[in-house]
Amino acid sequence: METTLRARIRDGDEDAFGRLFDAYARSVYNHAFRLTGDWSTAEDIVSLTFLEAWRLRRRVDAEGGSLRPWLLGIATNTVRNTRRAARRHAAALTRLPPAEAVRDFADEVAGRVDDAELLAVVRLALDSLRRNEREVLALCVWAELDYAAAAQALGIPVGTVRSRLSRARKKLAAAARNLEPRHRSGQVRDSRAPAVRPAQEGK
Amino acid sequence: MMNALPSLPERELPPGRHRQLKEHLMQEIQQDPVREETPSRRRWRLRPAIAVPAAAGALAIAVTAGLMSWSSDDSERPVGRNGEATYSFAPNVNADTEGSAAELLTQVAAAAAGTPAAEDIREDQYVYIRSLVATAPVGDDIETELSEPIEREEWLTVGGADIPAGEMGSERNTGYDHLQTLPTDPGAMLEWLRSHQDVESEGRNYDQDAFVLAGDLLRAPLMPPDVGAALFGALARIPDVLVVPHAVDAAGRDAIAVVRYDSYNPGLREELMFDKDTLELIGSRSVATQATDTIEAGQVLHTMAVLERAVVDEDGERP
Repeated sequence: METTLRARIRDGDEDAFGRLFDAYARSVYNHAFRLTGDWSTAEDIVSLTFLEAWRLRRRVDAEGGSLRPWLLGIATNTVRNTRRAARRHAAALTRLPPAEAVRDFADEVAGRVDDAELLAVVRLALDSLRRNEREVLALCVWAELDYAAAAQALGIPVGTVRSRLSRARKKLAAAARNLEPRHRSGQVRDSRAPAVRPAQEGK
Repeated sequence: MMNALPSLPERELPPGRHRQLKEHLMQEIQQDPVREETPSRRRWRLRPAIAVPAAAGALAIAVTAGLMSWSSDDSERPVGRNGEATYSFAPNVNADTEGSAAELLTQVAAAAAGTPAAEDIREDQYVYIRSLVATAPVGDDIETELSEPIEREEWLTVGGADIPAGEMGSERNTGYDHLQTLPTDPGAMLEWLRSHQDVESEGRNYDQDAFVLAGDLLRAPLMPPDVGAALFGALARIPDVLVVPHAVDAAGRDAIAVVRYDSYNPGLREELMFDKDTLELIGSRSVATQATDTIEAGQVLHTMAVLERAVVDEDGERP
């Protein structure tokens, strides 16, 4: 039961933190990538986010739903203040095993086509949006939080979430229109990854 | 159709990395069990005090923290203290309602239908709104006290946000063009409200969702009369919407309110306030219906009263 998990997280139950990591490391990893455009930074953000979650565990309310919005909020703040978080957890980071230089090659190749499109979408957001617009976009659209959860994660009113998201949509649509001729031409088709805009080849 | 915001595929952590990072985390927290933030030295706030917004959601989140479990049985809501009704306090809260608001809302709908439609308005014009707004900060370790009403002038575009139909948030678009596409029959409107919700997850209360969505739309800068009437008519058909016969608005006016106990956020009541004579919607407020460490039952947490509304040509132009 989620309530019990919350209470255990709040009380600093280590097993509960393990479960939390298993459940949401992937969400945090992808969210961090969408905010930074860099997978290896995103790995560091995963570690920092959970260390921060440990530090801030007493703020978890015993009652409530999924802890995913809470973690994504911490991840967002960690991306925003990576250096500060890294300073705070400097000792722990020295003990972090380095990422392996060579990874499973087959996996890399399989991921490459999707990644090109994925990176294009994320880059577009990085280039055309302000940080706070990007955060709302990443939480509401890509992480699929509802407005209230996003507002809670960011510590801002729901109305602000709405207006930032609306602004982000407009700017991103405009940016996508401007980029389309250059970005689309010659790109791999038949990718499962959604494009920045629906393919309009032949027009 | 624009489709600039696709969902993105998710990627797993590199092979083996999930386990490595998890083991690292487990070691760190075992080594350092006491290094937790102490309440007395909070410098970095994940969730700062939330200035209570007009929208129900964020307010609810801020308040829920301090509230205990609650049953839907009315008799379990303790009645708040007596006192003078003011813009910041609702006396005898939980004993201040007077049954169903269906009849009142039907009259409100009829009054709304009879107001003249705005004529010859253009998307590039602005709606000037002068209002009085007061807000209470809500958060951990913060004393919750409603501010003095502040006069606010806003210039909102007639067109509203440009959100493609079907995308998240499009149902809440309060732009005049969007509002004109909505049903004008109360029954059809209720159906529309129920079918257009933010979140499709389990455990939703569709009555509450419809009440909140209607309230959000009714805060539009400019409302086509027939759509406004349909929204009020739809509210009249939502169960558990109640009348509060005496509710003082931010301007000190004695208004009549319709309220619904927020099914997601025990301890909160969202209220729409109407002029007693004209039955025009003149404001809204949120009232705490349960005491917490920092909030008294009956305390108003947010209140807004519209004083003037007009269509103008320029941003910043006063009527």
